[in-house]
Amino acid sequence: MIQPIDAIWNNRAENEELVLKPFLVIIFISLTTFAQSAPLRITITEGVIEPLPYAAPAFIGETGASNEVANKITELVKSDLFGTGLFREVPKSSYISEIDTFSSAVQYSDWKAINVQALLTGSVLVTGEKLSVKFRLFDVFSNSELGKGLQFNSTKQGWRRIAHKVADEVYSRITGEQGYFDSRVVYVAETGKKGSRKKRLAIMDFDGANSKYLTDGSYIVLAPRFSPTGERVLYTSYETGTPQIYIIEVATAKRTVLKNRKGTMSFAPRFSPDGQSVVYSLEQGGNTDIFIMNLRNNSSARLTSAPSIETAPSFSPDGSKIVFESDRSGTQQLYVMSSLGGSAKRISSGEGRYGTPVWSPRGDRIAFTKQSRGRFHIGVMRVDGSKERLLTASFLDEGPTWSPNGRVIMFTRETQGERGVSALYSVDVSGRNLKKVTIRDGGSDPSWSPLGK
Amino acid sequence: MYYGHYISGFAHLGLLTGLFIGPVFQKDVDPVEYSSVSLISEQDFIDLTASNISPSISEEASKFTPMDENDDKLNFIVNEESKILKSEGPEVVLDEPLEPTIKKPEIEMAVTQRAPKISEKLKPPISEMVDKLPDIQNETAKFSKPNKVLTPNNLPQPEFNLSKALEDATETVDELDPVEDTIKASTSNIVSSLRPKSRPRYISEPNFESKSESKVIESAVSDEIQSSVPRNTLSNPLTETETDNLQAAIQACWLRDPGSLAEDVKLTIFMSLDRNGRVNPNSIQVVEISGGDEDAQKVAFRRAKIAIISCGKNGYKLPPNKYERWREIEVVFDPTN
Repeated sequence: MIQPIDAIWNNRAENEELVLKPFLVIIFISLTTFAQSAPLRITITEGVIEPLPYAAPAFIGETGASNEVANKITELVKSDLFGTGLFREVPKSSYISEIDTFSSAVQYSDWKAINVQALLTGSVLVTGEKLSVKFRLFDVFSNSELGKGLQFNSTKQGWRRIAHKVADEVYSRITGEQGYFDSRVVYVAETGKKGSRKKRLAIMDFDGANSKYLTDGSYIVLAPRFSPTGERVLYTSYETGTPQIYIIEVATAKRTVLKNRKGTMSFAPRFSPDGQSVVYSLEQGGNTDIFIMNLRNNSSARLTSAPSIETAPSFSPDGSKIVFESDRSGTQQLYVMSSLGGSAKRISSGEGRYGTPVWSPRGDRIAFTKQSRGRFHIGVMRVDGSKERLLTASFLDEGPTWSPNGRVIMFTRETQGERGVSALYSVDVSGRNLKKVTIRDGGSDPSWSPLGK
Repeated sequence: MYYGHYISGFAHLGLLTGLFIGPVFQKDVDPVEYSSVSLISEQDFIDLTASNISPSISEEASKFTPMDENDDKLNFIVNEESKILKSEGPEVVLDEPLEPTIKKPEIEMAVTQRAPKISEKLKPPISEMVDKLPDIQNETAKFSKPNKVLTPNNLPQPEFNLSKALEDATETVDELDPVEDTIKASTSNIVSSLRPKSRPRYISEPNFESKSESKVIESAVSDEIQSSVPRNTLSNPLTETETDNLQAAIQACWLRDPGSLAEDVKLTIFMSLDRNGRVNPNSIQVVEISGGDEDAQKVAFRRAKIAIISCGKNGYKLPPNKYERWREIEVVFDPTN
């Protein structure tokens, strides 16, 4: 039977429809299932840079005699945390519930309602000369304790150190990084007029408290540097008329001199990470190079050999490399070489002069002083010289030192003019929270100790 | 008639679809199996070919551990009692261990879907079937352990024949409209529900009433469907403005610390929300995390979690009619960008 052409096309269309429609349905099911199973996805790249809100009700005094110390400890802990610029205390007037006893249950919803993210509670017990401090930290938004309760025991005189240790623990648990409050700084205390300043070696808590002199000021001292354990300090002294390196025991003030060979001057010393060696600069016949001395046998080895000035060496935390400054290119720049010496690679590349490099305890950055266009800066860069960032700018900023956790840099700032004074400042590695360290006198050349044990 | 156009259109649609969803299926390419060729009996041949046609059904289900109400995946787990540590500084007495065991975040992804039961009498078109998948909004919040995780092999199959249903639906529509209109209606339905409009000029609720095929079939099957299948309509995707508003709401509570090691951590967090836009805290899980050490990752997760919870405590402002689109959200926190 012969079908008309239209009928053939119609039949073909029906057949095609039967074939195509299931195909269409399968596509529809596939896409629908795919669309439904994939959650909505959004990306957040910006947040807010604000201090973290926390609450620290006054630590509970377990006896009447404990209340005064409890208040002092609470205030010092809060001062430490506030000083970082990373924490904001929610005032007591906002509290919905109170902490009456150390063991009382925490009403998380009450603290959440006033936007408290972390809650610190504690108690203090003074028994005679003994002091005992307990604390707990709570993650309010997780309805759980952040870490576990901790107790410190000491004498009453050690209350400041206990408070710093509590603050270190709180900081560490919240930020995931080591704290730096239970640490000390050795520096050059400066008194008197600019032309005739008395310079003494001094040591203090990181916050400027408990300052003590280690030398009497009858001769000039420079560039003190802590040993990796914090028990000894290297420094350069002019007491013989020419610069010489000394080591002083912090606990006993006992000194040892690293004697120069005749006709040489040594300066800018720094300990190796294992504390067994000292790397330093030696000037001989008008040329300055970098040497390393083994403290066990007093043997020295040359690390650089160039007609230029090489100085300010600083070890990497693993001890494998040394960063130093050199003018071998015509201007003062930063170089990195093996701790065994050999060829050095220049890492600074910006405009201006670079000096006093210090390797971060984290190992990922190098802090430095930069002089450019008549201004001094404290800056940081990656160890390969990339991502240079200037953190400060002033008439004279120099001599950076890292906090034990590699988070804060302390440095010297000197003001201009006849009445210009030298002071210690600190700045967060992000460039925020620049502030002056409160010390009794003027100060320069700070060196931060490792964290207390 | 424009049959050539239809054929060309479907072919292109198929090609594009293959490009879109092709990679999904590429992962599971099985290696080619080789076997020697020999004479086999008729029964062996039947058995051999039958096994290719009907794969055996596995009853094995992946284990799904229910979450405790206050289970924080990054919290410390401590079992030991008090210890005393002494140092050169102040004496340190640990109430409990200082460095407790840390439980890493577990990534748990479980999707359970139940195929709807369809009456034998009523055979709606597949587009309607998909539109009326069961609503599982309450189940996501509970995270209850399913009795059996369904795999593609053991999913209950709807009791009807796809081709037959399609044929019936086509016939029904053919009685009312020309074939051309039927195809237009079905394709417009698909396009409107499947293809996200990247830059919608206006926002309107999907109007399924206006679609002729749906209208005809719905009038016949709606009672039966609604009695057996909760409604789960796939709505329009969120507009750029709606997504931007959600991003802005979360980032307003995301506290960042530029000097922190947590700034090296990029993480993706999954969360489920109720119809009021409130986050189910127990649903918050890390889907993906990279950069930084373990401590930095813990801090990054805590900060992200707090951002999500604190800014969503009163419910995120999201369009209620698009709940299916935002009931589950993955938020990528990327400070490294």
